[in-house]
Amino acid sequence: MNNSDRELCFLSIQDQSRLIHSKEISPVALTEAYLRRIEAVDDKLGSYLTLLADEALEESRLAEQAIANGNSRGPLHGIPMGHKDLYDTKGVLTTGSSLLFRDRIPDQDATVIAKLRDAGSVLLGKHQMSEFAMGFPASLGPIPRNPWNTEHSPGGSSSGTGAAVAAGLCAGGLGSDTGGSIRGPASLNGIVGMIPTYGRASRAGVLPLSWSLDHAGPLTRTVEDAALMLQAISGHDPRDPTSSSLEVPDFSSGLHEGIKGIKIGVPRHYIAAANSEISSETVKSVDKAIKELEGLGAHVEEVEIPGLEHLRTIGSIIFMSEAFTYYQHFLRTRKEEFGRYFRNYVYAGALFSAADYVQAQRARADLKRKVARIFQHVDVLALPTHNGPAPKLNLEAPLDPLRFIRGAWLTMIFNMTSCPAISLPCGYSEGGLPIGLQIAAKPFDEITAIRVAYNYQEHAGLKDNHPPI
Amino acid sequence: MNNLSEENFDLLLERARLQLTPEEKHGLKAVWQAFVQPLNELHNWDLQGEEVSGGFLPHDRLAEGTK
Repeated sequence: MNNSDRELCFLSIQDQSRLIHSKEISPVALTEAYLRRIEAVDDKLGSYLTLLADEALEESRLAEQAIANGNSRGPLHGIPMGHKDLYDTKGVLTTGSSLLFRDRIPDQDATVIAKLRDAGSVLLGKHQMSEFAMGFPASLGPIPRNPWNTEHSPGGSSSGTGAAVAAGLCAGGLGSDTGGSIRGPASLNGIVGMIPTYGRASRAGVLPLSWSLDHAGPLTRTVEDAALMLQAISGHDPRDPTSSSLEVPDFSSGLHEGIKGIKIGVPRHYIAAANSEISSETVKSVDKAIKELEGLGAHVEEVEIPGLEHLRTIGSIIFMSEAFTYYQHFLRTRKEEFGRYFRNYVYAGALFSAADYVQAQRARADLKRKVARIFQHVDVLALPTHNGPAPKLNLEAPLDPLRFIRGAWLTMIFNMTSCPAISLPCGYSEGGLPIGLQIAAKPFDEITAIRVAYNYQEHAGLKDNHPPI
Repeated sequence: MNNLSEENFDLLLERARLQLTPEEKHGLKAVWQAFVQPLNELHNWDLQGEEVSGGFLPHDRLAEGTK
């Protein structure tokens, strides 16, 4: 690996695409640069579970030929990516980072993977993750580490994708998010992560954790790149019974409109409810970012979301019940092949009663209605993504019954209310670890969330900050 | 029910058709114990006429029997 590899690998997808289409770099050279960087760096990060070097080089050769022949498939053609190992990839190991699926090779791509292939992207490999999007450590593969400080966690559950995108080991990738598993790693690794509206991007061929809360979405280094990836993966899919048939708009269409007059709601009581669990550095950085958004012409007002006291309980009942239902056969017959954390936590899903689940879904409906009312008065909500910068990795930590839901306090609300939400960097802790700002919008209004996030990112000038690794 | 007895907990496991090792039982009991009080509070919440609503969107294809 040399310095030019590092520069090339940290370019945005937008810039890489421009260079590819102007023939200043070839997809093959770009893929080779990523492979050299992965070889040089990833033993410190553990972000890849499966590397597809030969296949990626072959795909990049085909991309190069197609583009040379005038058959470009668009801005993602020839762009090297890596995806969380719960997306089915035809003929390629897809394990959910669990021993249970250590030999599982799907015969069909997940719909969003197929869409990214159709858009011409190159698959570098599959990323390590928390076991089945929840267990830590995974029962298969390395322990992923944060590229800003390898003694710290990259978050979860899209841990490998978060670390790899931040460290310039791929141009972008897909994570999945049930309670914050895209936005959390985005925040902790200093990158951009987004969930679209529930139903916008297909879940077909994605190993489920919780059917009614799971979202597919991109992790990238810029907001523009997130919009490009989201554009490629969105749209109706007959393979997903919850897929929306609404027309997909141009997610980049609002980028250059500025944010003058945009109404931003800040749920300060919600942020404060995290009290001792939220770091003062996080509150300070996010407050500063909100002031900067005001300086760009947005109107900021405080809003109140009622009924939050039951948020953790509702989210836990729904996702644990759904997770147990999906995995129960294996938990009864091959339990030793799950990691301890996943197993113990998901077992609890068997103990909730039908009345518990129904009451949780009624409470969720009530919450959706209350959040919808807030979006009648404001265009977006702005709040921290995570309660602090990346914590130190602690592999010996005792089982914490509420760890998952505690980390998801500021994010899960948008999974439960089907709102699109994006996380982007807004500052750094004293220890040099990134802090994330979260912008959420009403269902099917990804454009406004992306527009606000883009304008902040351009203003803040943080997108060219990369970890020293 | 804040301090769940072993007997009651075993009944819950039996109903859930779970056969666990003592270590697994210990881990699960800690998780479950954390939910006992919040569950009571959730059920005491008067949600008035609110009905069930998940994130699922109804779709004709389900009625057509295809996926």
